[in-house]
Amino acid sequence: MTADGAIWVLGAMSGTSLDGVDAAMVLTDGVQVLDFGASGYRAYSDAEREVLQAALGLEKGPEVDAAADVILTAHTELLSGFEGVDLVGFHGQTTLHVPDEGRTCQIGNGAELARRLKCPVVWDFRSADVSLGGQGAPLAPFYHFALAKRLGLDAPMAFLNIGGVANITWLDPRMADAAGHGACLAFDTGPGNALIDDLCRTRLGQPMDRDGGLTRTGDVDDATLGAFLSDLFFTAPPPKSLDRDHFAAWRSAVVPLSDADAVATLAAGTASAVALGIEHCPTPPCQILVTGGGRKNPGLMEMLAGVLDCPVAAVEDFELDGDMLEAQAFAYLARRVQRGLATSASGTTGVAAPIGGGTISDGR
Amino acid sequence: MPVLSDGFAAGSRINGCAAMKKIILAVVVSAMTTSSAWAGGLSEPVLEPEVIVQESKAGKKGGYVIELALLAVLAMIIENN
Repeated sequence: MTADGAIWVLGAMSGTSLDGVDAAMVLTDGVQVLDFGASGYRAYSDAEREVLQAALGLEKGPEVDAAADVILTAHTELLSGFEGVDLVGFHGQTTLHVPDEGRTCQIGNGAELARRLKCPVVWDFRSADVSLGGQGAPLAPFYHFALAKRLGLDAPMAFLNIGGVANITWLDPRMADAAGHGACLAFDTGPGNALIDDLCRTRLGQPMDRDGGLTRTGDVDDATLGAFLSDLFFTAPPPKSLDRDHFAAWRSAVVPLSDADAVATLAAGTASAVALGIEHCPTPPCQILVTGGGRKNPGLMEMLAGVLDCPVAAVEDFELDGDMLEAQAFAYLARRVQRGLATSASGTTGVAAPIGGGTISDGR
Repeated sequence: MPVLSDGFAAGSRINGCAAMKKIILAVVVSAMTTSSAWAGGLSEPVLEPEVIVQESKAGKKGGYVIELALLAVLAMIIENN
């Protein structure tokens, strides 16, 4: 292997849902994705989740120290089970992210993790971007760009991530470099699953609209949908990101509706917001690949197919693992950091110039 | 590559999506006609009012002469007082 060659990198991600740690291996030189390797998951116990929750919104203090210990323990347990790892990309757990104030905090000591694993670890991916005026997120777009190249796509396409909030990466795989001008554009499109999940939890005592049953059977309330889409967020040009509480009024607007109609109307809001987001893209995408929990709601996928003018498919239809995409992304980004390549650009985080963020700890 | 379908599994949703598309289109059209903040949208060019520069007949030199004369008159008045 040369210094610029492909190596096996293990990426690890602990998401905002605090359910557990995802880890996945990728064979990459930091430009191309050449192969996918083993993946794994380690759930947090209720006690661990409680400790992590206590640290949310904080940067330091005893709560943060305790949560950092949980992160380190969970990651050491999971990652030490992988073999043939040349490099680790360790995202950690975000406890605070206020980029407009230049603050972002991902807990978990990468240097200590490197010592425990006896393997180099790249960590602290977001700080440099935020300190240079970027939003520090999203960081997956450059990985999306590499995946589009791997899939052999030769026209602009988009990855749509429907988590709590929905965000999109528009990209042009004909461009040579993800950091190049016009190669990637990423932004939040609007609400994702969060409001649907909240409604299902409060009204029905279930965590989500399982199999999209309510989304499929309910009737969309056009007047409520029209009022929702008049929000100025949708006409604002990217880059743009959403505060989780931005659409609190939208939640209230569906209160008079039946369970099914309310869920269908919220889902229609998510799908329509994506359609409006597409209008901001430099050119219409030829294909949209959906990742995140929303891809598991068939009713929402049908709505997306109905309102968008291009084919819509879950990433699994292209033999990608939607559950491990973020962990893979941090494996890919780790190799880019190691090679001194950019991990974000003005089209993805709004940072003034392409920048490679991350700290490398060699494990000695 | 898998063959992708953009059809609907539920027939009743077809009319629903058509209505949604109309609402989306209305938002797009409204945004294009009322705001310039829509990527790819057209907005009326903003024209600055034309600035007409007019030289005074006296010109700058003349202006200075008058100001100096005034100062001289003022100095004489102060001296006489």
